Amino acid sequence: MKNKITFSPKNIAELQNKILDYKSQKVVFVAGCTDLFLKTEKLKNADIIINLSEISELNKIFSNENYVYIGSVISMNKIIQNQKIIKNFPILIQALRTIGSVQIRNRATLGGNLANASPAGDSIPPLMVLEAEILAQNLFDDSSKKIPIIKFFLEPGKTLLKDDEFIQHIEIPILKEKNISYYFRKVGQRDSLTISKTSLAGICKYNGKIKWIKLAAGSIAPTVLRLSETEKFLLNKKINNSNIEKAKSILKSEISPISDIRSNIKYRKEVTGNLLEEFLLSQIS
Amino acid sequence: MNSKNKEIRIDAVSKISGKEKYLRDLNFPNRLLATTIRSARASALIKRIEFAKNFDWSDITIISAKDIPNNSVAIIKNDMPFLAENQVNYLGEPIILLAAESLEKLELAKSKIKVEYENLPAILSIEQSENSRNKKNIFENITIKKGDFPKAKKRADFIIKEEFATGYQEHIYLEPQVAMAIPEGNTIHIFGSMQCPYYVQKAMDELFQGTGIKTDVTQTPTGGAFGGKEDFPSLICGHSALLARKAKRPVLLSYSREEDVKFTTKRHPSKIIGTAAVTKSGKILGLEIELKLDSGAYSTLSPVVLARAVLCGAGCYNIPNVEISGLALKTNKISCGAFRGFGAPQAFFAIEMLIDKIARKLNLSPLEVRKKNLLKLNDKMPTGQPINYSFGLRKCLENVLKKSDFERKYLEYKNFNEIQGRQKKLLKGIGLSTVFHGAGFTGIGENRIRAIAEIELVSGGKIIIRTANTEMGQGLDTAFKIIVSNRLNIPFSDILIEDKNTSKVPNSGPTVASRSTMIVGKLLLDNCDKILKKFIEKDINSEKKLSFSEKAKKYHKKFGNLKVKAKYKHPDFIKFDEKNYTGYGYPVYSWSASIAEIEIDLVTYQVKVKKFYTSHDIGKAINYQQSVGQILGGTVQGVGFAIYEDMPMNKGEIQNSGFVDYIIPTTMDIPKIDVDIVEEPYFFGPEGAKALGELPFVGVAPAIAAAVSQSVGETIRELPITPEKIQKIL
Repeated sequence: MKNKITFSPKNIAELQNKILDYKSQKVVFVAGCTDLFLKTEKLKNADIIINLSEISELNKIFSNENYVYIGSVISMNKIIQNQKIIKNFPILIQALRTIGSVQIRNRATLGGNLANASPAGDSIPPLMVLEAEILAQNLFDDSSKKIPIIKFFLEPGKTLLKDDEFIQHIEIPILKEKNISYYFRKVGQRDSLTISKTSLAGICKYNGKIKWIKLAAGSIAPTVLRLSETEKFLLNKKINNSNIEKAKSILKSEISPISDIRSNIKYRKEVTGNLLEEFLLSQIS
Repeated sequence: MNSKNKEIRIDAVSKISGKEKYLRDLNFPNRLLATTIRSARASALIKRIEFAKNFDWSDITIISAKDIPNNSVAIIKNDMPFLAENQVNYLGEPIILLAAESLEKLELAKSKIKVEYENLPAILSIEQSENSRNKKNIFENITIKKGDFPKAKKRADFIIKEEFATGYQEHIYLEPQVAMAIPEGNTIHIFGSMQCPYYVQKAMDELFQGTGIKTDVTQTPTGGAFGGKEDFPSLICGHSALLARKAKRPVLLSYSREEDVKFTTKRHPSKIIGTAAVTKSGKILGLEIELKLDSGAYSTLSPVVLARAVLCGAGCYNIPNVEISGLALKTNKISCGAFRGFGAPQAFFAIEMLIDKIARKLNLSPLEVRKKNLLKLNDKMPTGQPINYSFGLRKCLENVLKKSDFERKYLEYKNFNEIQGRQKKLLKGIGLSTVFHGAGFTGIGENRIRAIAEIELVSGGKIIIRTANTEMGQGLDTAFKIIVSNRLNIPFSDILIEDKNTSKVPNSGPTVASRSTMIVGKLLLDNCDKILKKFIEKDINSEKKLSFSEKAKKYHKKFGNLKVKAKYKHPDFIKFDEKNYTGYGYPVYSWSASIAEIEIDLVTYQVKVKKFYTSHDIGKAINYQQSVGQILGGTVQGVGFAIYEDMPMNKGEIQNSGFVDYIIPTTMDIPKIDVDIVEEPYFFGPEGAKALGELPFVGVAPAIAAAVSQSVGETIRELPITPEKIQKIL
C-alpha cells in the first residue's frame, strides 16, 4: 500500500484550509474506523485519509422545537445516553444497542453507519421510519444539501454523497403525536457482534384501526427498504388475523432478500413477516 | 504457598497483562517473511507453473516440490506432500512457497505466478467418496462386534433407525498457525506454536533424511490449539525450514486468520446411521452404528480419529449385541485432523440422538430409556472391556438431575409447549446427555510411545521438570508443578520447567488425547519417588526434621546433580487387540452427564441456551479452579458446535473467512453454567487423576440437541442447529 496523507482536523475551517493543497487527490473520509480493516481495497486507492471524528462541529447533538440534530461523528454510545434521543426516538436507541459490541459503539458513529451504506446497517431502518434527513456538506466550499434518507442509498456501499462531500449531521423530526408505538428488532446470528439476517423498524399510530404506520426493513434488499406497499395496505385497517396474513404476504413480495453465508431467502422472507406480525400483534395485546 | 494460590496459573500474569511474547512478537534480525501459493482447484493435474519473465525474482526465495528432499509429511500414513507436485487434491493445497523481505513484495511476486491446471473429477461429499467404490478412497475401516446383532433384531419389538450428520468445526485458537526456521550451519532450529514438538521433530527428520541437515524443534508460547496444532504444524514447520535452508536466512511463515480458517485442519464432518433393536419397555437388545468421517484429501490423523469414534459408538450403554463399523473417507476437500473430542463428539451426537428417537417412539422419557440401558459397575464395553474401576457416571447423572430438577422441568416444558407455546411464540426444552472420554491414546498406543519424563535436582535444591508436553492455555505447566510440589512438599519457586525444545527434553509424547496430566503427571510422581528413595539410600533422610529443600541442598552438596527418568507403561492387564478391536480401548474413562435448558423463539426460530448443568468425573481435579475453567471453556465451544458454528462449502471451498462470518458464541450467548466435579480416583493416575481436556466438549451438543428435540417434537438429526433448520422442521 502506498503511503497516505492523513488529517485529523479539529474543526471544519481547519479541514477546508488543509484540503486546498490537495484538491485533485482522491479523498477517503473515516470516523470511528471500526470497519477500517474490512475496507482495505477502498483505502488502497485513496491518496488522503481524513479523520472526521475530531471535528468539533460534527461532534454534538442539538435540537429545537421540531428537530433533533445528531452530529455525524458522535459515538453511538453517546447517542444512546443522550436524554433528547432517549425521550424522542427510543427506536433509534434500541437499534443502536444492537450494533457491534460496547467497545465498537464507543467508537462507531451514525455518519459512518450511513455512509457505509450496508443493507444491514442497523441504524438505518429506524432512521427511515423516523424520516430523517442527511445534511451533506461540501469539502471545498460551505455549500451543503439536505437529502431525505429514503433517497440517500443507491446500492450496497453506494450513496448520493459525492467524493468531496461528507455528512455533517442527521436531522430527525420530532413526532408530536401522542400514543405512538415503536418497534425494532434485529435478527442476527448471535446476540452481539453480529450482522443482521433481517431487521424491521416500525412506528404506528393505532386506535382501533391503523391511523398510520411506517415500516422499514434491513438486509432484505440491496438497500434498507421502506415497505410502502405494506404500509399502504395496512392504512385504516383493523389488526386481525386476516389482515396480518395479507400484510405479511405483501411484505414478502415487496422484499427481495438473497441467500448468503448468513441466511437464506426463505428464512429472511418468513422471519421478516414474523417480525411484522409481532409488531402488529403488540398493538392489540 | 497455600493450595488456592497454587491454582492460579503460572502463566496467568504474563498472558493477561499482554507481556507474553508469542512468535510473531519476537524480532529476529534478518528474517524473511513467507507465503504459500495454493491450488485454485479441488482436483486437477498441474500442467504448468509460469513465473513472469518481466519480474525480478532475484530477491525472492522459491520452493517447489522438486526442491524437497523427501516430499511427504510424516504423520501416520505419510500420504500428504509438503507441496503438490503433479496433482492437487484439494482447493488450497500448497504448491509453491515464497520468501521475501516484506509482505508487499510477496503479494507482488504471488501475482506473477500462474498455475495451469487440467481438471479432474472431484469428490466433494461422503456419499460421492463411498459411491466411488475405490479402495484408495478409504483411509481406514474399523469394525467392532459383540454378540449377534441380526439375532437381536429378530427378537426386538421395534427397530428404530435414523441418520445423523455433523459439520465442520474450526478451532479458532486465538493465535493463528505460525512457524519460524533459523538456519545455523548444518542445523535448522525450528520454532512454532504447537502441541507436539516431537511430532514436528519426526516430520523434520524424515523431510531432511539423507541431506545431512539436523533440526531441533522448540515450542513457543502457544495461544490455544484444541487439537489444531497437533498435526498441522509439521506441515508449516517443514515449509519454513525448506525456505530457510534455501535462503540461508531465518524465515517466518505466519498464517492470517483467513488463511487459517480456510486452509488448516477442521473437525471431521460425519454421517452416522444408527439402528437400534429395542423391546417395548425400552431395553436396547442390539445396536448397529455405521459411521463415516469426511477426512478430506489426506489421511493425517483420520485413522486414529476414526478409532476413537467407533469406540464411542455405543455410548454409555450396556447393549448385549453391537455392530459398529467406521469408515474414514477421502474427499477433495481440506484435510480434517485433531479437534477436542477427536471423533467422539460425532459418535456421541448420533447415539444420544438415537436414544432420543427411541424414547419418542416408545413414548418414554429419554431419562427412562437411559435408566434401562445405562452402564453400571462391572458392565462391559462393546470391546469386552469391563468397567470395574473409577466409574463415576451414575454419580454425575444423579448430581445433574438433582441440580437441574430435570424430571419436573421435563414435564413442565412438555405442558408449556403443548398448551402455551404457539400462543406465546416460545418453545422450551430440557435435554440430557451422558458421555465418556477414554483417557490417553487409544488401545495400547501409550505402550508404543513409551513416554519418558525426567526430573533433575540441581544446585540450590531446585528441581527441573523435563517433558515435551506443552502449555497451550490449558494449564499443564501449573498442573505439573502442583503434582511435584505436593509430592516433594516444595514451593513452586523451587520448581523449574525446561523449555519444550527437542534437544533439551525427552520425548514424553504429544500433548493430546487428554493424556498429559494422567500419563506424564504419573511419570513425574514416579520421578519424585525415585528422588525420595535416593535420599533414603544415601542416608540424606535420617534427619527427619529437614525440609525437602534442605535435604536436596544437602544431597547436592555431597553428590552433585541428581537426574532421574521414568518410562511409561500401562498396567499389565491393559491389553487391546487392534485387529479385532477387543479388550481395553482405553486404560480408564472419564465420565460426564450434562443437562441443557433451551428456548426457541418462534418469531425467529433462534435457539437460546438458557442454562447448562454439567458434572464430570475426572478422577481428581489436580487444579480445581483450572478444571472448572476447562469445563466452562469446553461447554462454550460445545454451544458453538451445537447451534452457531457453520462452515458451508461451495465446490470444495470453505465460504467463511474469519471472525466476521464464522460465528462463535460471545459472552452474550453463553448460558449460565453450573459445574460439578466428581472424583472417582484412577489407581494409576497421579493423585487419582484421569482425563479432563476433551470431555467437557463432548456432551454439550447432544444435551442441547436433546433439549431442542423436546421443544420441536422431533429428534434433531443434524448439527449445527441453525434457525434456518428449525424453520424447516417447524
